[in-house]
Amino acid sequence: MKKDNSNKIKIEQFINYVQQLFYKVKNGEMDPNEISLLNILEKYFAYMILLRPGSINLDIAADFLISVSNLILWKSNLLLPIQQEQSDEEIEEDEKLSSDEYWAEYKKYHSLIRIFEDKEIKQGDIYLTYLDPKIENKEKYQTNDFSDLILAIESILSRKKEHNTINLKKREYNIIQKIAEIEEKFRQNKGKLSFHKMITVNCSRIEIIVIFLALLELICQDKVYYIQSRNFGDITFYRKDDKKLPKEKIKPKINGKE
Amino acid sequence: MFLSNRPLSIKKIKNITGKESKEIKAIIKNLQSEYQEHNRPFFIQEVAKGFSFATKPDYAEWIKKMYNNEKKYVLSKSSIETLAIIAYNQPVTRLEIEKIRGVNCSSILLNLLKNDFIKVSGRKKVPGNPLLYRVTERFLLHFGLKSISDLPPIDQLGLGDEENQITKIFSETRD
Repeated sequence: MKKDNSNKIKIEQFINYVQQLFYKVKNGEMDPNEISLLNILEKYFAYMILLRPGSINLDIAADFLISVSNLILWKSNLLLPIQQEQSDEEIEEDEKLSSDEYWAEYKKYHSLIRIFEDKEIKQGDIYLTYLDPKIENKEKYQTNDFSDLILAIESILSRKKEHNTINLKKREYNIIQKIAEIEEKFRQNKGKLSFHKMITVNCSRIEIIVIFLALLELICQDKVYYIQSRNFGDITFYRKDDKKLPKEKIKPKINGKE
Repeated sequence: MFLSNRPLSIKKIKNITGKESKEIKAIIKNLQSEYQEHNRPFFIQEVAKGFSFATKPDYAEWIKKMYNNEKKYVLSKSSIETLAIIAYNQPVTRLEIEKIRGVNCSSILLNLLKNDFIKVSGRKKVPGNPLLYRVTERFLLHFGLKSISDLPPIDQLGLGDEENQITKIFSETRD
């Protein structure tokens, strides 16, 4: 406790010292350039590190931050150029002057319109050996840019009536997805699935192949086995982890033709 | 020069004929005088940093009829003003043009670019890297200018009656 009190006193003294510095600067008794804020901050942080976290008085710490911030503000203001406040009349005068300058500049270019128009009319009656209107048109086509093409296609599309059409997307199948589906079916059918029932009427040829490949994959992974009860009969697939294993003999082949 | 698809520069003629520049200039001058003396319907015009055969303005009506009265491309006042700003300040950015004109120039610039009166000559090395514009050979041909230096100096432009009137209107509006 003694240590904490001594630290508290030291911090308070330290902050008083910083505040004194600030007042001296404010009253013009001291040149702010003589104060090294870096040194003050380094010493402050050294004190803060020495203190235990619970013993920091936030009020004192905040006072210190205010004093240092004021000093920083004071020093930064000194670096800025001194701005002389302008009266409303002076501001108005400046605005008028800049406006006059602008119009003087603009008028120069505006007065050129007449000169250019005269030149254009004069040159309009002169035909150079190659600058006939046909060639000019040809040049115009050559200088068309990509935006013209976009405008052209937009124009065509706006004229073209839209018909009620349905866009069909080709279905894609993958084995991993099919394995997940088969496993779900196993769960729903208590670990037993008939091969013929697995293939529905709506299945496409590609889907049938993918189902077959998925079943082969499950057999390879030793998760599924299959049984054919009689020759040319339906093949039934069983999930291996299912406890209700049938008593039929497991067949090594899947084609049903022995 | 008669068959060239663009005005032939002295340098180009020099490369082809192997003659000295002074000699070429003298020959062209002689030809110009000869056509003038014999009152030919054509003359040699110095335009767009080169020389080209051109028809005399007196025959313009007939030539227009030959081309089914097709008019030459005519620029609007705003386009001319924009071109003038570019010609005197090139290379110049859109923002710099707009600063002088006080209005948006995007569509005018696009139109001038499309019709080959101006071209993009690079980007200004400032934040945003805006495009820089320059006038093209077509600009010189359209106004019958020898080169950009053929333009009257901007500082020497006097204010005519019309300009004084504009100034008056502007001042009245501002006040």
